[in-house]
Parts: sequence; structure tokens; C-alpha cells
Amino acid sequence: MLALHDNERVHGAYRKTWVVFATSGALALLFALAPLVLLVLTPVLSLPAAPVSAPLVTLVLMLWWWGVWTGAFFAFVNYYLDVFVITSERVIRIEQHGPFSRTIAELRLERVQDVTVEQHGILPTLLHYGNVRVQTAGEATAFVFRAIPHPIKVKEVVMEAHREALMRGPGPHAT
Amino acid sequence: MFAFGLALFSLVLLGFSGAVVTVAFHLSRYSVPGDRTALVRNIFLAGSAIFFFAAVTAFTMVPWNELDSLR
Repeated sequence: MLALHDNERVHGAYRKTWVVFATSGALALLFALAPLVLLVLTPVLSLPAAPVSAPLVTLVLMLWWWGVWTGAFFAFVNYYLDVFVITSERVIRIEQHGPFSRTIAELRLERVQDVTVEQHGILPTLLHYGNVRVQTAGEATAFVFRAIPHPIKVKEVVMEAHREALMRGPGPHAT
Repeated sequence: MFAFGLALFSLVLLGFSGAVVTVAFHLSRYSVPGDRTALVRNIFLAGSAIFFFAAVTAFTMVPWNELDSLR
């Protein structure tokens, strides 16, 4: 669970667009349907059906589908745990790179200098997703969160939170 | 045949169970306030439980002795 400071509010938590997971999801669906297609095609193609009992086929099917189910959720966790959180004090970027690899970066809202939205390509334009780039003063590399839905609204939330943070002044957790 | 099947089945069960625990752990530990991680985790665990019990039931119903005669 994300640890918040005292009196820190979450303005919004944003995840990547569903398009990012669509390929993995479609692949999982294909793998799930493959044994059914094989079962249907076996008499049509006159393939030699293996002399196995129904429980054995059921066992293999259940294990296959369990593997597909678990694999699909592994891919989903990789997608779902990439989060861009805007609180009243900071911007937090959480990226899950694999089952045992995770990066968490945060920056204080008072240090935000510039927020840029990038939308390149047909799909991002039609499906309203893009990158949000947060630049701080003096930093060589920007804070980038990719494939965010409605990036312009997210940019507005960051700018509003930045204005509120400046009006409030640095809190006890400022460095 | 039964011993081989049991050994293989146990290995597969162990592997899948480890993967299920890993995914559920991630979904429990890395949630963000206000999201639906708990719901996603419960759906995943419910599905995994269904597949687990279906696989164990199917394994117990396989006529292992008859499979030896088919070889």
C-alpha cells in the first residue's frame, strides 16, 4: 500500500491505457481457445485422436487453462501496478518491470517547472492517450509517464496541485 | 504410470501455486488508496481455486491402471 504523509491527499491515481494490456489479453484469449479449436478440428481433419480417457483430457485442459489464467494475470499485474499518483505534496511514479522488479520515484510539487503532454500517432489520437512529462528545475531527465488516458486532464491536475503546493508553502516533509 | 503422473502433477501444482501466491502478493502489497486491487485479487484467487479443485478432481478420476494397458 502506498504510504501517505499526515494530511496528504490523493488528487488522482492514473494507470496506463487499456491498449497497453490489449496485446497480452488477446494472446491469453488465443491460448485459452486453442485446445477447444483442436478438439473441434480433430474429427474434421481426421487427425488420430489419442486413446485417452475423458478425465485425462479434462485434467490437461484444467492445467492448461490455469496456466493461461495465471500467465494472463502476471501480464496484468505488470500493467496494472504501473501507477502515476498525484497527491497534495508530490508526484509519484510507480513502475512494475516484472514480477520481482519495481521502481518508485517521486518529486515534490514545489519543484515542478513544466508539464508537457505528448500525443503521437493515430491510436493515441483516436483513443485519447499519451505521455505526460514533468520537468523540474535543474534536472537533466524529466519525469515521464507513458500511455496515460486523457493526458491533458492529468496535466491540469498536476498544474493545479503545483499551484496549491506553492500557495501552501513547503511542508514538514520538504527536502 | 500413477507414480509418474502423481510426481508430474505435484510439480505442476507446486509451480502454479507459487505463481498464484506471487501474483496475489503483488496485488495485496502494491495497491494504491481507492483502487480496485482487492477486487482484482479476489477474482484471480477465485479463478485459481476453481482451476485447482477441478484439476485435483480430474486427477483423482483418471483410470491410471487402464492407461497402463493402453501403452
